[in-house]
Parts: sequence; C-alpha cells; structure tokens
Amino acid sequence: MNLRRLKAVYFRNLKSIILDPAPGLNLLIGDNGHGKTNLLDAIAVGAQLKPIRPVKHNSDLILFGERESQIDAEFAGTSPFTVSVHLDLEGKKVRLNNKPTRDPFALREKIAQVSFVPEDLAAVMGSAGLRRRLLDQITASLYPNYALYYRQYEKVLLQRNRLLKQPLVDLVELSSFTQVLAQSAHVIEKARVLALLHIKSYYEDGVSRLSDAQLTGQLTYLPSSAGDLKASLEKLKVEERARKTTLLGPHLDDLEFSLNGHPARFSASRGQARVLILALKIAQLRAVFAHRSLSPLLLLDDVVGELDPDNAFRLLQVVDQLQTQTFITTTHLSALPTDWRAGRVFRVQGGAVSSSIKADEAQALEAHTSHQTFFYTADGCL
Amino acid sequence: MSLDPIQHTIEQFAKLPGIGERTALRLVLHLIAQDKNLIGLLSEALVQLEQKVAECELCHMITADGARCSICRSVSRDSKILCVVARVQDLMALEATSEFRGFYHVLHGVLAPMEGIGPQDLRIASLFERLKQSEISEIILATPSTVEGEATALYLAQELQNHLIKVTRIASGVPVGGDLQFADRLTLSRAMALRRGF
Ligand SMILES: [Zn+2]
Repeated sequence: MNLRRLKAVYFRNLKSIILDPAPGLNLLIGDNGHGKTNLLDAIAVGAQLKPIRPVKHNSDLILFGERESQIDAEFAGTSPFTVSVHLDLEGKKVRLNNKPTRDPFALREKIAQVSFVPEDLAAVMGSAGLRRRLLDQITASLYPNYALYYRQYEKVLLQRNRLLKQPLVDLVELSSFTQVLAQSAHVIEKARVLALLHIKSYYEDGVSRLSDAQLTGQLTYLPSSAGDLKASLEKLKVEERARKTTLLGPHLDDLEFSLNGHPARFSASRGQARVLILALKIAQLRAVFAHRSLSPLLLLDDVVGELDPDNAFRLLQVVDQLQTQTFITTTHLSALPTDWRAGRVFRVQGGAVSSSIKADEAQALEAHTSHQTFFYTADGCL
Repeated sequence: MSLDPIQHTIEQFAKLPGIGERTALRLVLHLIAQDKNLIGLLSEALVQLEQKVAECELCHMITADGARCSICRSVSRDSKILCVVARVQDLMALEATSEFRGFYHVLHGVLAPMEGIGPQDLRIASLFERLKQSEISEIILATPSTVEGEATALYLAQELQNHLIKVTRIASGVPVGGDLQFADRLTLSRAMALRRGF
C-alpha cells in the first residue's frame, strides 16, 4: 500500500499543494520554516488522521486566517482507496472511498505508519511520558484498534479521577469504576507486552548492527503495578482519596531502555541515544512488516540532520531492503550518503511544493552549485 | 413582556438536540410562510405530549397509557425476569428484537462522575423497591457496553449481591477487556442470548 497522490489545501502553511510521490524514497528538501515537516504532517493526516507532531487543537492545523482545511490522499496497491479529511474549528470529517466514516479504525486496518521526529531522541533520557508515547505508537502500529482501547482507558480514568475528587465518594461506585479501569488496563498492558515481544529481536539486532556490535540494548516494560491492578488499587484506596487521583495504571507505565545491561536513562551519550531510537524505529518497521504483512509508510523528519552519516546510511539501507514508501525531510541533499539510490525529490518553499527529479540527478546538481538554490524541471506537479 | 415571537420560537427550536440557530430559523420560516396549518397541529401535539406522556410508575418507561405502561400491564410476559436498560431507546431496541419476554426497568442514564451523574440520579432506588415486592429471580443488566454502562452494571451487580437473585450481563463486543483483533459489535438479540453471569 503506498501513497500515490496527496492534495492539501490550507493545511498549516501549505496553501494548496499536490504531491505525487514515488513508491520508494521521497526527499522533501527546503529551508527550515518553509513547510517540509508540515508536508509530513499532511501525509500522516491522510494516512492515520493524525499529524506526526501532536497538536492541541484542530485550529493549529489550519492555515492562519482560514477556517477550514482539506487533505485528500489516494493510496495505490492491491485494493486502492482514497481518504479525505476535512478539518474545521469544530472537528474533522473523514471520508473513506468517498463515503463518510466515523470509524477511523477501518483506515488503520489498511495502512500503518512509522514516524520519526527529532523530539523522539529525548525519550531515552527524558520523562516516562515520552517513552510511553513511543511505546503506544509501536503498539498502535501493530494492533490497529489499540488506539480505541487506549481512548476507552483514558475515558474511564477521567471518570474515576472525577469520582475521587468528590467530597463524598460512594465506595461501591468507586469499586465499579476501579473494576472497569482494571479490565481496560489489562487490555492495554497485554497489547504493550505483545508489541514489545514482536519488536524484541529486531531491536536487539538493530542496536548491535548500528553500533558495529559495540552496544547491546534491551527494552523492558515497567508497568506501574506488578500483578493485579484492581487489588493494588484497593490497597491504595486511602491514599488515592487523599490525593484525589488514580495512582496506578497504564498511564503511568514506563519503558526502560538499557545499554550493555545498565539503564540507559542515566548513562547514554547523545550518540548512543540516537542508536537506540533509530533501532527502535527500524524494529517497529520490521515488526509491522512481519506481523501485519503490510509495508508501513515511513515518515522521517530531519533524520539525517540528527544522525551521523554512518547511521543515516544504515537507516536508508534498511528502508531500501524493506522497499517501504519513505518520506525524508532534509535541508540539504548533501547530508545524505553520496552513493544513494534514485528517489524523487520535492522542494518545499514558502508553503508550496515543486517537483521532481531523481535524487541522483539532484545530488549531482547540488554538488555543482555553490549555494543551495538549484533548478528543477517540473513534471506536472503544480 | 413583549417578546419577538419569531426570535422566541427560533430560540426554543434551537434548544433541541441536533438543531442549530440556522436550522431553527429555517424551520420557523417554513412554518410561517409555507405551512401555517402545521403550527396548530404541532402545538396540539406538543400539549398532548406534555399532558399525557409520563414515566411508568413501575419501569420508568415513557408511556401515554396512564400510570403503568403497556408492557408492565401485560399478563403474558415472564414476571421472573427483569431487564435493566439505561435509556428508553434501549428498551425500544430490545423490544424490536422480540427476543425478550420479561419485564424492564429504565434507569434513565448511566453512572458518569464527569457529568455529575451518581447512583442517586438514576432510577436505582425504585429498582430495589420493585425487587421487594415481586417474584423476580433473574436480572439482566443490559446497560451499554461503554465505560459508563459497564461501571453501572458492575455497580448494580454489587448492590444485588445480597439479594437471592441471579444477575447476568448482556453479552456484547465490549472493548473493555475485549479482544485486540476484533471490536465488532454483536447484534442485540445475539447479545441477549449470550448473556453471562458475574
Ligand atoms: Zn412500565
């Protein structure tokens, strides 16, 4: 399954663009602030209804001064389909094959996505929330309706927290919500454990390869409560009522990265953290490929800027092997390995996209120009 | 008090679910310009609604048949089984399947701390009153398979523990504790047939 055409109107700084990507590698080139990453967000909205960088409000996705935005995506493959997403201040309306749908999971069944944003690198040493976000992304890409279960968990959590804030708590009612919370949590935890099991060998292999066998890496799931959540919450009843919030559950779980047998959180260098995150993304890609026999869209924001050339090359090699449709943003083509295969190059400037020549030609061209502005022959895309 | 009758009517229509200011305006203009007869018919129907429709004193279903609804007055139904539903619409949906021949109890909502709805806001006290005076031996909890519906069922199941009554929960494609691969929804009649004990 791959993206054949994307149209975006009034999406972030993209006024009106059409993108006809290659089935393999696509390079989105442009200076910072011109809309490369917005284009990745537009692709992600077309594929998963969500941008790769989380936003609080829909209005953050709409071009400043406009009231609505529209994304249309056409996917090619064994059973082609189209996705249209209309965003306005009230919400989003999704059409699948031109029919309105309220079921975003129908789309997640058809297509998966693996993304990298530079902020992901902070997860190794940062807060547990950042690691949970990665864990949830992995789990959701392996289990298309995981997000549905997670949303349900968040809902019961909100209800339970509100109940704990009441001056007089009905204990039977609290126990009812505890039970629902525990049931819902169990599904989340089970999915996370299974997802980690799916990526384990790929991940360990990846860390070793990316570090020339200098590093060994392990991932460990650290649930906030070992064992029966309902029983553990029963024991915390007094404390929970004093603190007026739920003190255990999947929303507080952690994912531990370890490096040569020690927690990476305290000891990893920035370079090592890159290896771990990169290995995680590659493992996610491979696991989705193996588990769902589906090649996910790979969206990499500024990955070459954040990685050293060796790592970038290894990443691109894996991408090449898996033949998965990939979008990479970068400021310069020269940041990519020189012996790079042909892909399509799109230049993103001032919210407009111009295309497209083969990567090797663009690279040769860039090598001969002293500054960054170079000329592309347009081939029908805008 | 002199209200602008047009504006006043628009405001009343706009209070209805699913009707915004613009639709309300369209409806009011339609009544004035196209279908003045309908105004009288509508007013009459609404007055009847207000005067004749009430909650059944037993099951809390809405009824225009006096103190007790037609289901509660039925002599051919199984008085040993009681099915608890959250909303009037749920009762109607179950009746439409013709699978269930017992009696009902409508809670008029589900437990939802976020919306400020607790046990005392639902028709729960009257449910226990009913149990004292009847021969009910099984209660089917058919609240929706949402987080709140599930919590409501668990609440009732706990409260019913000390009554010598069999308590079952309607089966459903509940995402709570469900299967990761499938979140399909079972039909109501199948769900009723597959109900489980606690
Ligand atoms: Zn009745």
